[in-house]
Amino acid sequence: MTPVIFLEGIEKCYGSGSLTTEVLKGITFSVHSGEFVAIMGPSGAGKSTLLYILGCLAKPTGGRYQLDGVEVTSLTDGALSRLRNEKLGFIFQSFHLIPQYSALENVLLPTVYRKGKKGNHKGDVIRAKEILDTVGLAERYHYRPGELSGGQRQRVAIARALMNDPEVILADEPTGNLDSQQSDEIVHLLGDLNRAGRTIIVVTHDPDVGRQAKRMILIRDGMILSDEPCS
Amino acid sequence: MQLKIFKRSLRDSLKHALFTMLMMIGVIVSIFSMTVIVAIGDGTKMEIIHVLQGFGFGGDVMMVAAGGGRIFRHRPSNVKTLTVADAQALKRFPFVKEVAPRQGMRSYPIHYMGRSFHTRILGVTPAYLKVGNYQIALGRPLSQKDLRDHRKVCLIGRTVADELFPGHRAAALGKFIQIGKFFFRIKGVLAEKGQLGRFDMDDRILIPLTTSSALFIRDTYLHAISVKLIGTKNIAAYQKIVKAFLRKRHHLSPSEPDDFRVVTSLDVVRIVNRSSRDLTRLLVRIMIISLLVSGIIIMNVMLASISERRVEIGIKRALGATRNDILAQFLFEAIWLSLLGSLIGSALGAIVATFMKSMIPVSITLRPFVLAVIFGILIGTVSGAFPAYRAGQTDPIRAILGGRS
Repeated sequence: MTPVIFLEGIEKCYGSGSLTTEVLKGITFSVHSGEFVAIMGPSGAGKSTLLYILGCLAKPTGGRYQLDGVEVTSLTDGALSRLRNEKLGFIFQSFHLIPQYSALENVLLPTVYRKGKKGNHKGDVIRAKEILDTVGLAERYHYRPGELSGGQRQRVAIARALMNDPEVILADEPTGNLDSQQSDEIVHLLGDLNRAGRTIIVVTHDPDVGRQAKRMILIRDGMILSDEPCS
Repeated sequence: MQLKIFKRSLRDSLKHALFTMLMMIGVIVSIFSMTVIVAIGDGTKMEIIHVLQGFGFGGDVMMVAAGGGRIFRHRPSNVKTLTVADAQALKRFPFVKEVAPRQGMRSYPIHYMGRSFHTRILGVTPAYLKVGNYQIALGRPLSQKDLRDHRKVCLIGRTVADELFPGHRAAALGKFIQIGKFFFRIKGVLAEKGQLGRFDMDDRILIPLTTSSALFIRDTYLHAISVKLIGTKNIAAYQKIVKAFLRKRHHLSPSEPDDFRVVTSLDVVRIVNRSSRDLTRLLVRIMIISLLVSGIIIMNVMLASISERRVEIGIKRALGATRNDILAQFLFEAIWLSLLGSLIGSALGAIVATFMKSMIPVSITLRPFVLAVIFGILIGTVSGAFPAYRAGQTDPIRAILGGRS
């Protein structure tokens, strides 16, 4: 079976000439459908850079990256945007909801940028409400982010990530801004989603998140230190 | 797809009310003043034409006067090239409804029963009454028979009637008055027309053209031909046609100047407006500057708004928005806000102009609205293009990480 994500010798440098900083020095791994991978490591190890390369928001300076069988490294901005829209769902540390939109509008945002397929707004709204129900936010459709707790905001963000039914969910420190109880809820929600078949890749410091994952990749100084299944 | 982004852009700008207001204010003010300026300008013009209409020189009348040069002169010219044949030839144009040739602009002494008076004598045809918008207050108009038989009959203006028959205008009918050396029977009294500037339009006597040719001018040349057109449209084009036609009829070589003038009411408006035109020009310049300023305001407010909304841009990029989607969003926003601003401005302008109606002549037409729409789209596009491009180029990672604090 072809992996959903296939990385081979990924390198990333910032700057140029003598000021070049090598953040990633040859990262190679694959992720198959249905996996729950935690990428861990100390600050500055290159975890976030790796996640943004996986998310097609940054281009690697070297190596190959295939997402769902598509070679990503040579694609145009338009094609990358389409990949992000159709194949990827993002969850951020500080939620990154649009404060002027209601929860429902935030969840519907990815459909605005959906290309190709004909949009069916009514169908989208029904689906968005269903997803909000499954993440435990029924009755909160029309709340603004400011009226929700941190945990609830992150649930909205997760619902938004699920909206276009992506192949992979990418999460950057999803519990970083939450207290322990809310963290627990989010970690369990991610676990539930994985058990329902979602492929999840999480960059985190949080050992609880790591425990929920099935596989842990440890990164230090831009290289993979270890890559093994969790018990 | 673009429609979705456009709709989203509408809703987004409504959710940033402060930026939205700031962006619109400049456009509202400048389009408002434009609307008022245009309304006053049009109003003045219509007022003048309305007044001229009453004196038989409305928007559908063209006057061909003998002698070239400036439009208005104090004396009748001595040029003898304008003829009745010219008038008859002009009448053959399909856009000409009626022609009224006339002779004589000079004053002559008038005597009746020991009273004497000086007034202007005009030799005219029956058509002149129609073209010149004259009404008969008492008696009867001139007839073709009067013209054909060189009859010594006349129609007197109200001022003349009051001078010669004070308090008893009706007594004038059928009386004989002496004009120069000749006696004329009064056939009718003209209805009052009033003053046009310093001219008393009622201080005149109309006699048949043939009679004035035979007795006063002693020649058949004309001083002027009033030409009534089928409508007020295309008058400038007709003016050119008539000019070219008369030059040909008068065998003028290209180096020779016109030996006639073709004047329309628009020329009169232009001359009367000359002083107000300078003011209008100044106001138009101020308006253009204020439009430029509002464009710069839009650009700066948008740049500020975009740096405020960097995170939003980063999120949208992560969710699949392309650079062009972001660019389109902000460009739409600039265009529709500036369009809305100009519509509000022109609506306010129309309201204020309506209130001014009781004080000065104003005319509210569709023109300022059309201009407002054009300017609105133009300003929005021009001033929104650069900020929108910048927004599209935002690096999504930096935008997202920048929002983490």
